[in-house]
Parts: sequence; structure tokens; C-alpha cells
Amino acid sequence: MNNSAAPPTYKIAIQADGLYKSFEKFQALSNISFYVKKGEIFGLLGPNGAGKTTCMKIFGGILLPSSGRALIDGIDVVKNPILAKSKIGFLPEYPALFEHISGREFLTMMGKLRGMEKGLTDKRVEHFIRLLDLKEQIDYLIGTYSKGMRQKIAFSGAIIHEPDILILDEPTSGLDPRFAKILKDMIKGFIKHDKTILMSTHITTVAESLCDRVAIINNGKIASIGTIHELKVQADADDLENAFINIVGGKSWDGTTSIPQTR
Amino acid sequence: MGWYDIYSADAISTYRVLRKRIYKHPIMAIWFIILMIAFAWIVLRTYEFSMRQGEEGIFTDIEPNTLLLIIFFIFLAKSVADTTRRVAQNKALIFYLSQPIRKRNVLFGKFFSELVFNLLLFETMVGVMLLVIIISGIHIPLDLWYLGYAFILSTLGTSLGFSFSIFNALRPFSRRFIVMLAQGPFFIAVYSITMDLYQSLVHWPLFLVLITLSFASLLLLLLCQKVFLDSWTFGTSASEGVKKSVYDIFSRSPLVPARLMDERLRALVRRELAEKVRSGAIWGTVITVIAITWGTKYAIDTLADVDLLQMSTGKYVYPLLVGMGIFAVSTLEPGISSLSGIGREGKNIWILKTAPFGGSLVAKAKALSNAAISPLIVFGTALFSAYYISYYTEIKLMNYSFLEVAVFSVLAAQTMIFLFIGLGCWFGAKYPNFDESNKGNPDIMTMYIFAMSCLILGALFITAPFYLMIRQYNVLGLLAMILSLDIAALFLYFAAERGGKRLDRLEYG
Repeated sequence: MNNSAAPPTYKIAIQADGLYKSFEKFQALSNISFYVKKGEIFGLLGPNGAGKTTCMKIFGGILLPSSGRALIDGIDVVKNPILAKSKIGFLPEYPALFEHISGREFLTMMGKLRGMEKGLTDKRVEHFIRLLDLKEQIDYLIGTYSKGMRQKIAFSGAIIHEPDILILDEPTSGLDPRFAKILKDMIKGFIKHDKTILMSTHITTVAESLCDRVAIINNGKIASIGTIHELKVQADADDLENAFINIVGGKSWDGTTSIPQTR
Repeated sequence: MGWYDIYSADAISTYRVLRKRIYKHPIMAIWFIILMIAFAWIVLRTYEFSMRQGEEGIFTDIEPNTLLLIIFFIFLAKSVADTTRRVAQNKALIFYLSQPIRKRNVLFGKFFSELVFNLLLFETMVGVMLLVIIISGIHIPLDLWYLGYAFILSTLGTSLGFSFSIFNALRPFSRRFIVMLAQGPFFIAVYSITMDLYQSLVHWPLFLVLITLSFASLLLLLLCQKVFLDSWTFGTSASEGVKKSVYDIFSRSPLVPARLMDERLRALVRRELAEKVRSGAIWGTVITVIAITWGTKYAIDTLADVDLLQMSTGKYVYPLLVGMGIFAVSTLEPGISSLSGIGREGKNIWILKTAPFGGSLVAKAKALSNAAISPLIVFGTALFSAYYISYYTEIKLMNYSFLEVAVFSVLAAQTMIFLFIGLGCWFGAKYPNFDESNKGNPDIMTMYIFAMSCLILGALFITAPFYLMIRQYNVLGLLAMILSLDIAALFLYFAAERGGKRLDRLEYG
């Protein structure tokens, strides 16, 4: 298992090279290094507060690293952010959207912000309306949408320009099983066209079903990197969930602990 | 959890935000104090001057009770704005409302926060003014009755403003109108009493009436309690569907010239304008322009029957009134709107930060969308005031023609708008406030520094052309004003660029 140095035979789409990020006294990321090969789905798996979102935000250009390099297709996101951002589509964990425009207007705007032709944007919007069953709701204000509907619109906005690299922060968080399935299928379909995905999750089954390779991140540090099989072997576990617990540390509920009574 | 806990949470959070801001920007805090003292000195000197002129028969129509009414309206407006964003439209209140807490306690806790903060503001203002009086030796006879009236009216303004915001969020309009009727008698009473207040020789009865009114206004809170949940629900949810026609009117208007703009810039400006119209913010702008224009007209009317132009200082008074009107509306609307532009984005900032363009495009889009309302100010406040002075009041401004006065006013207004938008874009990107409970609006310290900086910047750009005009160098004065406008446009461009660079370095989350 080679963890940090990029082997020369692969084409590298995303690379983190000794990333550090601190917020005043709090060290959120500490020497994070990994690479994502072109055409690969790479997962950052970790408990809440491990530093996954911080890492994703650095690649999305929302946060700046304290030190180290974050490269998108060989382009440094700090030195040349505009070019780096032109290569990606980004979906945050809780995608806040403009409340007073409609879903259609949002998607059209996202297309224009990515420099797409109007005709092509309109075609892509119609495609998403059919695919995600958006129907007449597409012309309602986003402020009236449910959480799932917002996630659909945000995901469509992230891929409307067909980026080569997709960065997804907890993409299935808060979705109903039907849409979670559609999203997983879309992610799998996306990868067939030689695209690359970097995604974070704390759900081991999602990582197991989607990711080619996974980095387990804990307390801002990489605890382990490898394919699902390699991680299971390394942690001497029969599934990713137990491998994750073995690597990160922690207890399973023994069935005896009870909540302290207040009276 | 009672109302006091909710108030405590607000107080602690405000204190911590303020402390963090002071530690992070200590020079800004010192600048704030200097500006505050300077402002108090200017106000007191002006008051002393007007009192002295009053003895000579000038300014006789501006009486202390007019100032009391202004104090009442300032606290009313502040309370309306604060309550709308901190209570009626604050989605974060769900954390209180979903707990087993009486909604009355939530409402009272929020009201108490607003009241305490406003009274602290009032006391700070009075304290600074007393300090300036003691240090500078300005001669103003201190009247405790006056302070007492001001205190009670600021309380009353806060209380009525709070309930107004809660009622105003209700739908449909008929329901809103019915509950608002309950406020009518209070406004009529406050207006009637303050108009007679200072002619009265015996203060006690009026003072007691005002105190009684203040306590009675608390009864409105009980009515608020009945409709609070509905108001909050309406205030925090978007309206159904899309008002498509309005969006299209704006997106196709000449305000967004397609051929002159980058496609991405146009998309951002369209979205800003759509948000302004659909969120109803545009109506706030219209109301502010009308209110300030009316205030300017009132000030001109008040002085119209006095032959000020015969006095040595008189010739400055009318242009200054118009200038102050334009300054106030340009600061409050495009200025503050630019200042809060980035903070208001809040969590939406990810959309702009992850898109492949620099922050300067975002800053320019915000500047352009705010500049789009300049015709309202230029034609509403500036041109109307110039017309009103020249024709309606039949006062000849030092033999200037209406055309000269109108052109100068319009150019001055546009200059101020460009300057304040530029300053707002830069300040807003440098000191964004992402506090959701405040809907991203800047804190009071930033707002105050911004307003004072606008005053200084506006004076710098207008003084020289104004001086030339007043010395009868009309053509030179107008040319100087055109030059100022050009420099202001350049200032706007570079300030937006600078703001954009701050935005590039801005981190969120």
C-alpha cells in the first residue's frame, strides 16, 4: 500500500501533499497526503469531526490550507484557483441554495457561471428534470423545496457542466433511500466516462458500495489508505465497518450500558 | 428554560462577537471611538449654533420636540429592522420553538434583548455627549426633563417597533392590517404628545402619560404572542411559485445591458436583482427613498419662510439640507446593501467560492446590482429636492437656474452612490458578518464606522465643486463635479477589485 507518493505510471487527478489546516488553536488537518487516480472513486471515510469536510473544502477553494499543497489535475488550488475550479464540480454536505430563485433559474445560472452555451444549458436542465423527476417543481422558488429536492438541484448544479472531477461531501446525507439509490447509480454512471470522484462519507456501506479506494481519516490525520480489501486485511476484519472500528478505535455497544437516570 | 435564559444567550453571544471583533481589529475599535466622539461634537456644535441662531429668529420652527420625535423614529426603525431579521425571519429560532418552552418566553426573551441593547445604545450616546460637553466646554443647558422624554420615547420606539415587525410578517394582508390597527392609537398619541411636549410648562402630566403609554405598549406583546408562531412561519418560508414576470422585467431591462457584460457577470447581476425584487427588499428601498425625500422636503418647508439667504451663513443651509438627504439615502440603501452583500450570502457562499472566477466578478455584480437602484435616488431625492427648492419654495438659490441646481444635485448624488457602493463592497468583503441570526447584516460598530467613513469621503468629493458653485464659478463648479463623478466611478471600480481580492482570501466554515 503506497499512501502518499504518487506512482508515475498513473495519471493523477487529485493530490493532497502534506496538507495542514488549523483554525486558531485547533488543528483540523495534520500532514494529509493522498492521491486519486483518473477514473477512480476515492472515499474519505472518518467519524464526525475527523477533518473530512475541511479537506473537501480545501479542494473546493472554500478554505485555504495552512501549509501543504492541494492539486487538481496538477494545478495548485491556491496558486491557480480559477483554473483548478474550472475542472471540478462541488457538492457540499448541506447545500444552501439561493432561496428566491427557482430550480430552473438556479441550474441555468450555474451553467452560465461555468461558461456553457444557452442551448446546451437548457438541454442539460431538461435532462435533469426527467432524470430526477423534478417536474413542475423546477419552476417553484427554491425556498419552498424539501431537503431532498434541494439536494437534487444542488447535485444537478454540480454536474451540469460535466466536470472531469467531482468533489462530493457526504452526498447521501439526509436522502431518502429512493433518491440515495438514484444518486449512487448516477455516481457509478459518471465514473464510466473516465471521470474522477473524491467523496467523503461516514457511512461505511456507502464507501464499500461505491469507492475503489478509501482513506480512513481520524483526528485530522490519515489512519490508513487502500482498497476495501486491503483495509479489511490490514485491520483483520470481515467487513469495512469492523475494519473502520479497528483502525479508528472505539467501542461497540455491549448491551449493558444504560443512560443515567435523572431521578 | 425561561425568557431570561433566552435573553442571556443573546447577551452572551453579542458580547463574545463584540469582544472577538475588538481583539481582531483593535485599530477599528479605536477609530470607532474617535468617530463617535467626533460625531457627538459635530451634533452638539450644530445644536449650539442653531440655538444661537434661534435667538436671532432663525430656526424657530425646529424645536426640541421635533428632535424627540426623530429619536422615537430612530429607535422604532432600528427595532423594526432588528426584530425582522432576529425574530420574524430568523430560521434559527426553530431550536427554541421545537423545545418544551412556552412561545411567550421566546418572544419575551427576544424583546428583552432588543430593549436592553437599545437602552445601552441610548445611554452610550448620552454618555459620550456628556463627556464631549464637559471636555469641550460647549454651552448647552442640560435639561433633565429632556433626557427623560428621550429615554421614554426610545423605550416606546423599541416596543412599538418590535410588535410592528411581528405583525408585519403575518399573511394575508387583511389579517396583518387588523392586528396593526391595535398600534394606530399609540402612534397617534406619540405624535400628538411630542408635538405639544415642549410648549408645556408643567412636565409631570405629559411625562406620566408617556410612561403609561410605554407600559401599555407592552400589552401589544400579548397580542404578538397570539400571532407569533404564524408570523414566524410566514416570515421564514418563501412564497409559492415564481413571480416570473417580475424576474423577466428585470433580467431584460436596460439595467442589465447584455452586450456590455460578461455572461457570468450578467448571470450574477440577474440573480441579485431577482433576489432583491422577490424578497421584497426593493420595497424597503422605495420606502427609504420616499421617507428621506419627505424628510428633506419637511426640513426645506420648515426653513422656507425665513430669509436665510440674507445671512452670511444662510446660503449654505439649503444645499446642505439637500446634500444631507442625498447622503442619508445613499448610505442607507446602496451603501449598507453593498456592505452587507457578502455576509448576507451566508452558507450560499459555497456556490460563488467554488465557481471558476475570481472574487472581483462577485464584487462587481454586487456593485452593479446596487447601482441599479441609483435612478430611484437620483430622480427621487436629488432631482425632486432641487426642483422643490427652485420652484415650490420660490427661493432663488443665489441666482442659479433650476437647470444648474438640478445638474449639480444629480451629479453629486451619483458621485455619492458610486463612492458608498465602492466603500461598501470593500468593507463588506473585509469585515463580513456571517451571523445567521443577524441575517448577515454588519454589526453596529462596522455600520457606524462605515457611515462615518461615507460622510468623510462624500465631503472630500463634494466640497471643492460646491465651494466653486457657491463662489459663483458655475461652469467650473459643474466641471469639477463631473471630474469628481469620474474619480468616484474609478474609486468604485478599484474598490470592487480590492473587495474581490479580499473575497478570494475569505474562508467560510
